[in-house]
Amino acid sequence: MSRRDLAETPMAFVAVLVAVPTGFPLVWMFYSSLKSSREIFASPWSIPSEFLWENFARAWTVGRVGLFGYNSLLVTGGTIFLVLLLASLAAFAFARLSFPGKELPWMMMLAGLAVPSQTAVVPLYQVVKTLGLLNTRTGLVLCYSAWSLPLAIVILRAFFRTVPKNLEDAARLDGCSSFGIFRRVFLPLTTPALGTVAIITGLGAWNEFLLALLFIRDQGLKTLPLGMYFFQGTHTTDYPLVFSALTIASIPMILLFAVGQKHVIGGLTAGAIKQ
Amino acid sequence: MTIPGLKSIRHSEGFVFIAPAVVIFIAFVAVPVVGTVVTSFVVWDGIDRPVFNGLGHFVRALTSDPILARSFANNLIYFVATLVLEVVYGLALALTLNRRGKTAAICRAVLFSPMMLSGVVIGLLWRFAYHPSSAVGLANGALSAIGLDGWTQPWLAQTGTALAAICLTSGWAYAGFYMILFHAALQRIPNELYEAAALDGASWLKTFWGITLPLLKETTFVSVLLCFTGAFKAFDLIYVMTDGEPHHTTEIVTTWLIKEAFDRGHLGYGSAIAVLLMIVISAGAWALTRKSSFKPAMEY
Repeated sequence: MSRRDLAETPMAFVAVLVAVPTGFPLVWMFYSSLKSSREIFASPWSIPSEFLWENFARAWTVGRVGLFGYNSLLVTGGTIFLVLLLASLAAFAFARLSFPGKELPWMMMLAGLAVPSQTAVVPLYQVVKTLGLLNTRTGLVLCYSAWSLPLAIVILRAFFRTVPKNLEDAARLDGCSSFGIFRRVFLPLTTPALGTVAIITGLGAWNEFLLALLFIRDQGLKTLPLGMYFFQGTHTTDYPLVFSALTIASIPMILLFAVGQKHVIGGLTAGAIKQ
Repeated sequence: MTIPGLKSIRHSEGFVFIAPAVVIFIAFVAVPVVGTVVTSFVVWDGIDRPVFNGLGHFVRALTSDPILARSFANNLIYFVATLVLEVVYGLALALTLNRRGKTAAICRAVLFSPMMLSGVVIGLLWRFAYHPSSAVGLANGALSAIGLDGWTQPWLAQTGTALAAICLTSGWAYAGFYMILFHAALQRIPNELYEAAALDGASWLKTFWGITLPLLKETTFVSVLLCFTGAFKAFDLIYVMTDGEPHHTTEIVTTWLIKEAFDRGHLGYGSAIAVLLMIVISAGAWALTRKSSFKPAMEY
């Protein structure tokens, strides 16, 4: 150990000390999911005497976490796809095309940034019902996309505005249509921004609860947060099962964070304006 | 000449690009937002014909709904508590962990990680953590481990502790987010300023007040704004942990709104509550932004 490391030791100790209260409940969740019911009711501190990996299997099948996860994956994937497509098209027009009456939809998007969806759920339910989309994953995808669009458009427009004008002019001189310029010049240059938008949108859709709670009735269509919420009611006494389900639901997001920490933090702090 | 024609093609092109986004936005955002205001003026159960009620719902909400008043008060308490437990604590964490090296980086990552989880997962996890039995729950288990068996409580089930317990959970989950915001801001402060202060022999406290804090002004402001809007639009965590129980001591505006509109079918009254909530959030955000030159939407 060098002298510098030694000098750093007290500070490293303090750092670990402040991280433990946050980290420990997550660790606790994980090792509790491997315990038997009897062990869970014996002590919160004891490590499982034997790792009961079958708790995960039970949560996946009996608890239907696999099914809920599949629904969440479809809804999240659909939302990311739709938002990237619609927002990048619109952001390109807002950034680079001039057309009359552009101001009104732009102001609408800015206003949309400020309104939380929680305050509009009553008529939103009626809209979804009228369109025959109650109790469908499509309904969730459309709602999540619509509420994600303003921020996505604002972020992408800012990126599109940084693309040099002469690149656009050169492509136009070569006979490229606006759509061609969008697809061949702008999209390839703005993949980092698209990644940011995908992360904010995806995380929001994956974790969303209120609209799913209001719109989805079928057990087979429930997303993870919704399934887990009811799950906790039907398996109230089966603690290992609930702990395993919580762990399974957390793993993809924790992994995403571990792999793409920089992008996730960048995305969420950019998305902070909306939150 | 072909130029006017070209120009009009370009014009219609713009509409084609924005149309899909605008159509979806109007259907699922604009119509519901305007619809909330319209619905707040009618009595409606979602089935029969709506009956115009003027400002009746607002009068009732403001004069004779003690639970709504309680809910707004709880949101305010939640805001003040999370301001300390998330923003102030997040700043303290950022200052503590504002150093190079793997240890600090890993600790920051750990502190941020609950931010990745859904409110439902956080709420369910903490219902276990607050389990009334010290053989199951972390909170009571910790108390009895250090010999304070007498202090163990059914944290979420009694009126005196439920809201505080929820606020602590919120702090656990989101302090790391504000820490990251402050960390990014601290990284942007040029080191020369601290070197100069050190040469002048300024104390740590003086450096903090004189250099660090003023340069964190903008981030602090954004954090307070986010904490405010976050506290007033909160739903998932509280719905999962207590749903307003016991005796409405953890009731917040959104949980009350959902009960009125969807459990009791009072769509008009629920919408009026939503309108009041929109007003409170916008007024609060406006009051906060007014004091600052910073305009969130302008950042991009």
